Amino acid sequence: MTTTSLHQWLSRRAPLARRLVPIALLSLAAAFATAPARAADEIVIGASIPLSGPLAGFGSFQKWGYSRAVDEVNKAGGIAIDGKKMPVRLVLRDDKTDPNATAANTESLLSRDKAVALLGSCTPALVNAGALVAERKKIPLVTACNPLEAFKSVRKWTYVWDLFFHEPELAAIPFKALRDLKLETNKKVAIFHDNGPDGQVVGGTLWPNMAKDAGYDVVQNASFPIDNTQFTSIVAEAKAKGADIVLIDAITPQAVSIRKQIASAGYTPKLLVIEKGAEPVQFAEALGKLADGVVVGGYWDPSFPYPGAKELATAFESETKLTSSQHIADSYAAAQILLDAIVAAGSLDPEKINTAISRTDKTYVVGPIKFDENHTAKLPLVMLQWQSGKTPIVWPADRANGKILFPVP
Amino acid sequence: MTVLTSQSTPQRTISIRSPAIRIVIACIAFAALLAAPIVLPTYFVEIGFKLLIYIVLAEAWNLLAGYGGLVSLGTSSFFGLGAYVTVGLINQAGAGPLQALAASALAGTAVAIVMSRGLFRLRGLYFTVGTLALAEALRLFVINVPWFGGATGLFVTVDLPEIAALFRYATLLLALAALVMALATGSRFSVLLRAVRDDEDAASQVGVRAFRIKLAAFIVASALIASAGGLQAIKLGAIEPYGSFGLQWSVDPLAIVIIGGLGMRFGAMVGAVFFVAIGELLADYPELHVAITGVTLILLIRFAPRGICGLAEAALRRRGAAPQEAHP
Repeated sequence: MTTTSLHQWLSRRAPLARRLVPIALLSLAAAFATAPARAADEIVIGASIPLSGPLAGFGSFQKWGYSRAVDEVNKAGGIAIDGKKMPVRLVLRDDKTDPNATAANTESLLSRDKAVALLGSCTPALVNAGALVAERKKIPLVTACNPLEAFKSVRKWTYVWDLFFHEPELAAIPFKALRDLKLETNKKVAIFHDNGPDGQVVGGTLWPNMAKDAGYDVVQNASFPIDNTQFTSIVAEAKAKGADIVLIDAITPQAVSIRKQIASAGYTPKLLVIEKGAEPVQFAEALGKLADGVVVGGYWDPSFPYPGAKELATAFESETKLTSSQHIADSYAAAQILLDAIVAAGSLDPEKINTAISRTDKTYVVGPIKFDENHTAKLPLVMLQWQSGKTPIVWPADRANGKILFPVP
Repeated sequence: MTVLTSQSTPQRTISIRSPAIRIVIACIAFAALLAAPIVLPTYFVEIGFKLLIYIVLAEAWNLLAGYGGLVSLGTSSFFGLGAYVTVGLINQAGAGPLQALAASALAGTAVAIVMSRGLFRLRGLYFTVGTLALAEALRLFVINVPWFGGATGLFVTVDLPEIAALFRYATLLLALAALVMALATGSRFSVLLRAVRDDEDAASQVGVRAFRIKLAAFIVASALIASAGGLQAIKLGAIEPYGSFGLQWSVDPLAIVIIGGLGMRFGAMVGAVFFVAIGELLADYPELHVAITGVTLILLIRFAPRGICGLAEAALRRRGAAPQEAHP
């Protein structure tokens, strides 16, 4: 039977109701998808995070950090709203590392789950997609995992707040460390960076300018797509130009590829900085001994002198049997900031919660947090270096708990 | 009831009354959809928008693959193209949403024409791989050319329309898609397209200009897909190449049409309802959503290759009501 024959049959024999099969299916689906209204005696906060896809590693840390903060509040009896204690329910959705899904999830967290406030995803593309929805709906969202210049470049925010590192401070770390630690090089710098939001800012603009200001000679500045896999030619060029310092900004899979291709080219720069991609433990697991000596900026370490820092890492490692990541700290802090704001507001009114967030002035597990006029709060940075599967702090001296391996072994 | 028989489509009978009734029902349905945001809760309007976009994409894919045999994995290329053209025009030329969407449809048309000469040299799986390559090439182009913001993408710099307005734009786009599909599948063009699908060489031998027929379907589908991409971009307010040219925009319409019924008039709609409803029902269990969609696809391909609509049709036929006809 052809499609037309179905038409024929429906037209000639079936009652009108049968012609409306698609409409009936639509109604059925709508009935199934009836929105679960928020219970009157709970506070719903939502987050769309990458629990699958390329950024699933980050999402798992965020899930743990957000959940821990909410669990702590609930163990303490919840939050008093208009004099009545209410538990907090955290609704997490998987955005599959897709900004389209982040936006859709954020919408349904608000319209279906009736979330009164939101927590952010990870990386600029995902965070911004959800943040734009929150901004449009005038619902407060607190996020980390989004470098501050990338966050500020989107728009002037009213309802979205970001605590993370500031790209210029991150970019300055290698030059400050070279100066403070008196590391001897030929002052030739090669820069490889992806063309993602922070890659363009750090590798495309900040590093070249800072190198010049510090008296270094940038002999190469190579940009590549985020998912590029072939780096042989840019590595060969850096080697040919004799750069002692290689500065790289790339996500983890590309960072691993670049490090391997540097080794296979027989190229041995004295200082190898890999921002972003060298941060997770998966980088060291993939490279083994090749990871040793690679330097990366860090915004948190369990040794930081902030309340609960050491306990947080211990709790994560004992619960999950995994090595802790700095992402548990910023996620945990973001959730705490939001929960504290709801406590301070004593209300579920988004405007009051937003105002309370703006008044945040407290030291959290990541350090003192006070948002500026751009809705950003800078996290202090240190230099970490992979050494036998660990990342001791090697700079600045007042926070260092290890000695730098120089030159790279 | 009077029955007319078309000379070019001897097996197809057309009721004088039923087309009019269908038109009336369609007009009422679209009027109801336009009015829906007034009465529906926001959640349903948002889900409805997603559903409408998916129906348009699936209709376009169904036209290409179901009726034309052009199994494309290039939906994402035109979707992303439409997104970038729309955001570019809104930001740089101050275009309104409708102007930008119309321009993205034109851009989709232009790229379809330009690429057709190369792509139509390929047949079967080679065509499929060719369209996949087109999507990848466009994505890499957008990533590497600085005008498009690299991997950062672009942000809409003006205030975005509310979801109710976007829902109405999507309804208009669906109406356009439905009209186009009605013309494309209920006319002589449909017969020619199916002839090309079934045996391009044989069709050419009897005078069918296969290239033109395929090009017409490709243009129409590309324009619809590009408009849908533009509308999604307006809704998001931010686009970047990995999301806009993502493979999911090619795979989801394929899954929807296979679930609903390949080459079936209501296949796209039924499949989209199923796909979106399952997604929403299992929103808290994303791994189950993927698994259920996958298992559904496997079962349908194995036991009911004509999808839900095919199953429904077979069920109706078993009740002895449907006339016997050849498969499409």
